Amino acid sequence: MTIENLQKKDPKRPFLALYMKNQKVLYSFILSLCPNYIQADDILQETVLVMWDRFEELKDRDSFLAWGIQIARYKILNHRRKKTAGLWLSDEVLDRVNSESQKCLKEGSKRSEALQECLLKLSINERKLIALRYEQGASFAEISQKVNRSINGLYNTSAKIHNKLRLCVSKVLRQWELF
Amino acid sequence: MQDEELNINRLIIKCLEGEIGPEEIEQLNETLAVSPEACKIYAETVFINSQISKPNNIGTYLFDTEKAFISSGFDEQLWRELAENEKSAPAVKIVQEPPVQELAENIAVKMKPKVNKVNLLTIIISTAALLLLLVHASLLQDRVTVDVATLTDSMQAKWADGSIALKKKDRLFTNQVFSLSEGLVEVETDSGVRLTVEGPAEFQVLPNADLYLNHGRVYASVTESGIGFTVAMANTKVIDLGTEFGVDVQESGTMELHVFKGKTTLVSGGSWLGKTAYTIAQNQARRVSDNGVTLEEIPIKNESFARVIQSETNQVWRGEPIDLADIVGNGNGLGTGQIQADINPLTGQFEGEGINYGKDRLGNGQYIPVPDNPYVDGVFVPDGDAPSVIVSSAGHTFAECPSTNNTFFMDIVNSQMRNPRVPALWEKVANGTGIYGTDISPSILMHANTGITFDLEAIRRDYPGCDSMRFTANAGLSLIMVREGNVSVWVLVDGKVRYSQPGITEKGREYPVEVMLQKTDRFLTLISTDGGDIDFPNIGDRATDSDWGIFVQPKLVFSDSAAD
Repeated sequence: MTIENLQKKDPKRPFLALYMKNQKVLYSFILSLCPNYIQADDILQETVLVMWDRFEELKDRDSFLAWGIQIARYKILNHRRKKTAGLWLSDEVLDRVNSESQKCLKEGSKRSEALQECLLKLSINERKLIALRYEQGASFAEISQKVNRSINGLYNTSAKIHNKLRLCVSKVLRQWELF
Repeated sequence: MQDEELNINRLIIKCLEGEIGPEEIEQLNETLAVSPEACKIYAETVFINSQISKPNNIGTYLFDTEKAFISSGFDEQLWRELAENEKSAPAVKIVQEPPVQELAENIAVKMKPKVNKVNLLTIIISTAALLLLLVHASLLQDRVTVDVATLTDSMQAKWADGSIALKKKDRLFTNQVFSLSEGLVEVETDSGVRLTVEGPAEFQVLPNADLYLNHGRVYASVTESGIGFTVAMANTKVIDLGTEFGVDVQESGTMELHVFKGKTTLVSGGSWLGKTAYTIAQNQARRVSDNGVTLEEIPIKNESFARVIQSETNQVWRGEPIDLADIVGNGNGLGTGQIQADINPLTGQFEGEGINYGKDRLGNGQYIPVPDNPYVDGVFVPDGDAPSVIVSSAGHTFAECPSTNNTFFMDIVNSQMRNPRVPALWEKVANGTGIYGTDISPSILMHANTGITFDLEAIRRDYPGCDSMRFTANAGLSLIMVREGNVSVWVLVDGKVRYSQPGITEKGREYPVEVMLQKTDRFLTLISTDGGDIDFPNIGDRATDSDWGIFVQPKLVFSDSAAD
């Protein structure tokens, strides 16, 4: 069930507004502990369904995100217990990356702003590749078949772009701390 | 290092895409398990992905591929760039995307910790605070130059052309390379680490007061505030966990680590994905070669690193034993003392002229400090009939002290006595066992009744890395005196008897002494008392007559260093 269908079924506009405001952070949290788009999508959808069902139980709208993260965490644990496919992080590693991910989430809005600035610093073709993959939704396999290049080459290029963005974000955040 | 970052990014992206294979997952898990920096990269990369990707959009494949490419303005330039990347990319099997369910099952691999069977050593992960220093300085983006250390001593140091020539009290700044052609320098970092660098060496100090060593020899003595101090090299890092250690890096890249106290974490490996952390403990040593890939155990070399330099006396201490006879001669234990110098047990003064020798004198019942030498706490004349016999400035007492006549005949002397009328009183071969009391075979002459206490804490302070040490000597009755003697010798630690040999009457016989010392032991006391003969008032008939007690080659020996 997509978000759009939920909206048509029950026009709980407060829920929708709250969700749209916090969707990215919630998705970031899930993806950090379950680094696979398809599985993260599944967990996100299951989480949203639970949140929708229990929305009336939420008394404090300001804690919508924290509440959602709690539910998502439960969903992730459930998936791990059932050893549902794609759970590649070991328990030990999960703890380690979780603490680093929490730091990123805490400064999420600043990081997002910095990322916007850094995206503008990519070359035109780097931006095109990002747009093709992440906005248009073309898979690396499709891109590679289209341009007749190896997927491995695409992964390498994507890795360079991500590393460039990561280092740029760190630098921008540091510069902002000075002012 | 950038290659390793890119590798991690690549694995993360493949994982997100659901394209990662079992071996790659294992590799990534191992890396994240040992490297906090990798965890940081993971978190930041996934965060970026979560911001630029759209939930419920990835993998739907509901768009028009052709239109997407056209609208994206996909062009030849990008194709060419992709081709460049492809040239450097390792060969990979192009996998047809399986259905979601099947893909998920392939990824669900049970992780087992991988044990490197070739180099099977203990893998210990230190605290996150320590391992945050694991990353090489090139990952730091800040190129701000700051001062983080001070040059505290220098001995015959010569700096390479073009290098900054440091002198005493100069501050060391980051982002500067120092090339020491020869000689030694001592550096103290602001975080409480003392380094002795021996040229030829090339090094830099890093923003967090760590050290990058291109080549050369470095000895590190780390205080508690400096725990976590890291020496970084091309393919290896040594992280201090509260220790003293030496690192020797050849220009070929081969590196040796010798740990003298405490323990360290050694991280080696050709690349991030192959890096392993090992704990190297006290009295262990390792050699790393082949660009950080080969690790082998080697014997520890206790005296191979310059640990302490003293430019005033032009001396270097490499961990060799400390000579207590030299200290009695008002030296530093490394040979700066004066042969035939003596300490008066009534005044605590070093008597360089040999005035008060060879004459019976009464003790004053007091423990006398020796302010002129930091390693001698005090001297005294032991008499068991006194209310108490104090043997240290902390008030320790010698409870077992026997009754004596409270008389001493001679000062406490470093080796040969300085009386020209009686030359070389105890320089004689004793049953073929050796010559005592020379600069080659130093000795402390302690005619009954005398005592001397050494301050072990002061010695440890100036000679670091000696938590584990022992006192060794041969005690006995000097061969040279004319009449028969009868002396008892004692060794105390903080007032407690740790060795005694009562009533020695056989001249020249050696009684080996070995007393283990703990790092909490503060005072070492050597005492000679008369052997219990009846004390007649006539000269020549005193209980102390001819009681020439002697400690031959008295030394403080560290760790596994040889005593002789």
